[in-house]
Amino acid sequence: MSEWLELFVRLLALPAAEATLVRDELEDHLRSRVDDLLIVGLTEPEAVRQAVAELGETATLARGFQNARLRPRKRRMMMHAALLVIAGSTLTMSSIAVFSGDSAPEPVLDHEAAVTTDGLPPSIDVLPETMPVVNPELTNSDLPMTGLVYAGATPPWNLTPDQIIYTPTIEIIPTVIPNTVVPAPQQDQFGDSLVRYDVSVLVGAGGPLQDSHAGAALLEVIRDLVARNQWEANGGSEARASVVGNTLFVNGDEVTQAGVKWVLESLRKDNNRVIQEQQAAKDAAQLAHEKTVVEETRERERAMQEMREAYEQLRHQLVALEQQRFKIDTERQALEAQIEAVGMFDDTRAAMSGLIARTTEIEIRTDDARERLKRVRSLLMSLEFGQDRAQSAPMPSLFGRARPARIDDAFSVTTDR
Amino acid sequence: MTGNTLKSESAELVVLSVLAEGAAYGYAITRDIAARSEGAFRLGPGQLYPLLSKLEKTGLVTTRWEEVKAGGADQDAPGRRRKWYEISPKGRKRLEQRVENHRRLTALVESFLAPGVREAEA
Repeated sequence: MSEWLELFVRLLALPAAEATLVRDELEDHLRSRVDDLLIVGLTEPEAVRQAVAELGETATLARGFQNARLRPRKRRMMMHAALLVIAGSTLTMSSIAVFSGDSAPEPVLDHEAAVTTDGLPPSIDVLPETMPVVNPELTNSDLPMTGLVYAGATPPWNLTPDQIIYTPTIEIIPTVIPNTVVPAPQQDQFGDSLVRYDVSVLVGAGGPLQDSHAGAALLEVIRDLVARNQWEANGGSEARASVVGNTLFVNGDEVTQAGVKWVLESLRKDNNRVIQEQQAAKDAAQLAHEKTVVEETRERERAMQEMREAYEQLRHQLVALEQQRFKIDTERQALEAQIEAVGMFDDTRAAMSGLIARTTEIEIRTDDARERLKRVRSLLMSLEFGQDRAQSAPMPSLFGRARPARIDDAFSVTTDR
Repeated sequence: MTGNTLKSESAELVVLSVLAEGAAYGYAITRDIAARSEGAFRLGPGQLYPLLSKLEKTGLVTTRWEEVKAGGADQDAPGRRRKWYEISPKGRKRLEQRVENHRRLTALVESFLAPGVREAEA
């Protein structure tokens, strides 16, 4: 029993004082159980063996104590750290022991970075050929006081980072060095390797699978196309895959990895083709739009020019009409003076009637020209400033620098000359 | 030891219920649960002690240590240490909430059972 308790304490990897408390409690449990078993007739060795067996798998028990000891946030951080250590490792299965001290962690690395020890929390050393802890969230949290994290031969690939629990196993005990990250073998005993694939192009922002089910969709495609019966999710036992963020992890043999690589390359090529087609369609639409804008602008300028010419013609007509009206008024005044001097005769009556008729005709033509001038002005304003501003907009440069506020004013100025 | 393993939420409810009847130590809690459920439920050390640790950290239980001497052992020799757990006022409040939720859920599920099923159960 004592040997088992010593082994258990080592697995706990807790500070000595805390480990002693756990050990004492479990010893009490074991001895209480042994006492009960002795009463029912077992010998002491049998009772001890059974009591220890009833505790379950030693590593699992130790893991339970470790998890209970950490606050949920710390546990998440620890799991994230472990996951990203794996992500940053040289595509291997990893056995990692993470111990930390009290000091606050330094800013950490981009998880896509190459092997480096820069930015590691000060409490963690890295042996040569190993990867750093890479978790941006650690910058805002304290690391667990101590802990043991191990990615064994069968990590729970179908779980999210928050759900992943790394099982400590007795096999890695000799490799656990305090404050140290221990490198792992390249491949497990079955020749399987863990390979990380950057799938940000496929599942990241702008990718073809960018929604909450992007990772699941990608996994479904891969499991369907590559070694279909080997995947754990399809009932097999040889291959496992998981998508975490923009990274795909695949655990499988060389043939499986080659197949996954081929699928990803195919998806990327297809994605590139779609992107190129989308870009070409976008460019064509932009070109058509620009062409339309140019044509519309030309048409508008042409219409404005016609309006300006019409305006000028109407203005000249008005001037001519006013001149005629002025001439008739002059003649009329002379005729009235003649009538007053010599009296009304048939010829003067007929002349006066003629003048009155011409005055009426000119007034009608003048009113018509004024009305047309207003319409042309309104059209001109609409073309130059838009429909809404046509009534309030200033006059166009039709009158040169001396731009009148109203067309009537312009007309008056013109006719007064 | 046989029986069904309790889910974590149920385990908390059961453990707090046991402690509500009086202070107990880990092995006693395990034995009590097995006895009261006639072996139907199993709460092994791997589940019980982490749970107790969590309850202690969250203030739902208080603890104290005592020295235990085996029968017939030398009374001058040091005995082994035993950790006792006692439900706290906060723990009682949590227990009440849990019990209420449990009853509400049970009633809710009951309301979905067909009349024939309810009568057969009765």
